[in-house]
Amino acid sequence: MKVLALFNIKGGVGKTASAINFAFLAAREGRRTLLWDLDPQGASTFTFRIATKVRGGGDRLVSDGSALDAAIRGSDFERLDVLPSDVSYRDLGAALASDGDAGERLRALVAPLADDYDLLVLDCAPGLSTLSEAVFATADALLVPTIPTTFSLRTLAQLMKQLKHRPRRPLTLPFFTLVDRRKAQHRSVCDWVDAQGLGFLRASIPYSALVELMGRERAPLLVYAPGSPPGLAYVELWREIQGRIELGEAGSLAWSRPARDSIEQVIRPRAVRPTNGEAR
Amino acid sequence: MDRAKKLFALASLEELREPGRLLRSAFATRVHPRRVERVLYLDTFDRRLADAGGELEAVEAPDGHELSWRREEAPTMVARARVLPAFRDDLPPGALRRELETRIERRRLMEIARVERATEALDVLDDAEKTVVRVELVERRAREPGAPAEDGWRSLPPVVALRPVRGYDEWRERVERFLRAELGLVPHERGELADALAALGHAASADERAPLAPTTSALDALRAVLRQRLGSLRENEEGVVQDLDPEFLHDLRIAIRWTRVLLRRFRRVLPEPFAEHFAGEFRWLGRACGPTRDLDVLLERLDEHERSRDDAYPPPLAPLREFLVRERAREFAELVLALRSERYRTLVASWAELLERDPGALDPDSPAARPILEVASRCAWRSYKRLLRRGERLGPGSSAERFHALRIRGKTLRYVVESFRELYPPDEIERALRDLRRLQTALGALNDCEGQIALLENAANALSAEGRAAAETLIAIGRLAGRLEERRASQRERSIRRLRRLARRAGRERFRALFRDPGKPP
Repeated sequence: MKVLALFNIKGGVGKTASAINFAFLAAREGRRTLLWDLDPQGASTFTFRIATKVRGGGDRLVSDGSALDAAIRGSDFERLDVLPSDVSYRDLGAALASDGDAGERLRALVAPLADDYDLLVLDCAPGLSTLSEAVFATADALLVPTIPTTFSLRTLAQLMKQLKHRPRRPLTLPFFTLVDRRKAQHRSVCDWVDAQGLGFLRASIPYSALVELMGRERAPLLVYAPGSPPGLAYVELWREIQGRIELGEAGSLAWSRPARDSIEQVIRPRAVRPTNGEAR
Repeated sequence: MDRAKKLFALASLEELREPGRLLRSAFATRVHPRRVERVLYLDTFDRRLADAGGELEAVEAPDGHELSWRREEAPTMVARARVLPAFRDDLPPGALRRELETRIERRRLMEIARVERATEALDVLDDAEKTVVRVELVERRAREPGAPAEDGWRSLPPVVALRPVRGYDEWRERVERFLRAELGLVPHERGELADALAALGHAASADERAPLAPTTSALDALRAVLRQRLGSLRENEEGVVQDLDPEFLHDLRIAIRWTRVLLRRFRRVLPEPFAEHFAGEFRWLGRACGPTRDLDVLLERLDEHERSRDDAYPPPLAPLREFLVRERAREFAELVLALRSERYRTLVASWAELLERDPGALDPDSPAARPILEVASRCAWRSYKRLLRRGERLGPGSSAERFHALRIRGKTLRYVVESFRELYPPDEIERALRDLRRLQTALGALNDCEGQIALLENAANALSAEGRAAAETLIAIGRLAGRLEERRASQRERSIRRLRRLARRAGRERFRALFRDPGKPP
């Protein structure tokens, strides 16, 4: 099982949107995927129409081996499950650290998931914390969505400095999100990063109101707008990520292309309630 | 990850509309477009996967197949394969491969049945319009693999499948209660493959037959066991003729040898002239199979030897390999002639007719009428004593013929015991068989060494006479023979050790309790 974490010290950069769409793509390709919403805000849990509640909270997840398994919920999409968020996750880092090393504890906690899943996607809360340290020690790769501004690059540099001296360091893959090429700063930052060869992924996610509609549609962007510019950009980005990380093995795929239905052909029928109003 | 779905069968296609209509009237739902998929069921010819309680499905996908391994009470394992796997090395790496490779070993995966499903899927939703149960209304039909495209389809019972969504078991239970109350649905326990095989007129498992009772007459019991061996022979025949997998021939030979052993040891149970006649015919068939099998085993050993080499030069054993492949082709052609001959057809047909024929009333004093527990036990006990006598004074320097004779005795005992093992306490019989199998494994390996050394000598002589063996080839053959001689020596030691284990006091008491005094408390 591979572990990918979506992380940035800054908030509002597109971590959740990216986590949701990458997890969706992985599942569409046939990988058994689990998305763990580690952010107490619970946006990805909400998007998948799942209650942001874990019985016993984060403490119980850490102390009781079976609680994590019992908390998982299937999404509407084949092969994609969600480990919901809970408001108690604000103390999850402390709970992990109570027994010793938080990173070791988190690794031990997620290890049994490999029996059921090929990919674990972690949608992380912003900010540096004990929990984020544990994520760094657990993830195989850290995907860092970054808005193309000077301040964002500075924050990214702070993150890289934090990671630099760690004994166990995930592969770090920054990529640009919310890119608005009409803005001079966005253009100049993107061009500068490109010229400097700083290891950013080549594809980027354009700013689009369609992405924000995920909260209203309560579905991945790739379900309701698969052929849109951000939708196609997510597909391209996902392909690029797979080129950088070996996601094969563990009972599933050797491919990176969509399986039976292409993304562009996803049809999501609308929900229908009984006309007599007697829904159960 | 993927919770097992629960199936409910319907009596007719007309009934298939009702569940959807009822669910839409009572729950918030989302209906998906109808989809059709073609499913191939794969298994080894001896149904190892079915015997393990599972089904391996391959669903056609644009770029290959999606494989699913399903077993009751276990999560489904999935994998994607670009090509339909034929052998374990073709399975994509991962959990599914690890699960299956020890089960199928070197056996080929074959299509057992094709099923076409036309599915109307409907999601039941909660108040947040979240899918909480997946319901599938499935129309199905099956046909034989390799049958012409549109011929031979057989309808299967249409089913309603409830697929739980992880974490929403209460909803699945609620929907199930609703459907049961409205439609009187009953669970359909049989899996789709078993449904398909039943519709196509096949047994679900290679070893299917009615269980024996201790008081079953010896003749009826023997006929049942021999029918199984005949079934095994027939199942392997086509695989041998088409040369799909060397293991078909291996198992064909086992079926023949087993039949011969039972004919010999129980000849007084079968009607006399028939026993003698068929013993002769199966002896002919066994001899027809031997040379090809011996060459298959040697070629496999040669392949292993070559794989372990680590240089880029043409292998010195290449002329040997070519020679053996030619010999094998020649022997195989003879074997196919035998299996396609009138003599073979007559043998199989007349043997089947004898085994199926009702023997009528039996003379109560005849061996045929005696209870099988008594007859099989007496035979097993005698065979055990003969085995031990053969093994007396056997040492590492004993002749190859003595070890071969021991092997024949061991095989006889093993086949007798295996044929009627269900009549005995399972744990005890398994312990007895375990020691016996270990002995036979060592003796079998020893026998292989003897045969291969002889084949290598013949090959070296033939190549030399034809002027087709350079010095390096003859040297390499010599080295290979040398390794086989070392292995032969160690297998002799091993066989003797294992025979002593079988003959020690605990083993003797076990065999005595099982076969000399069957049914008596220990």
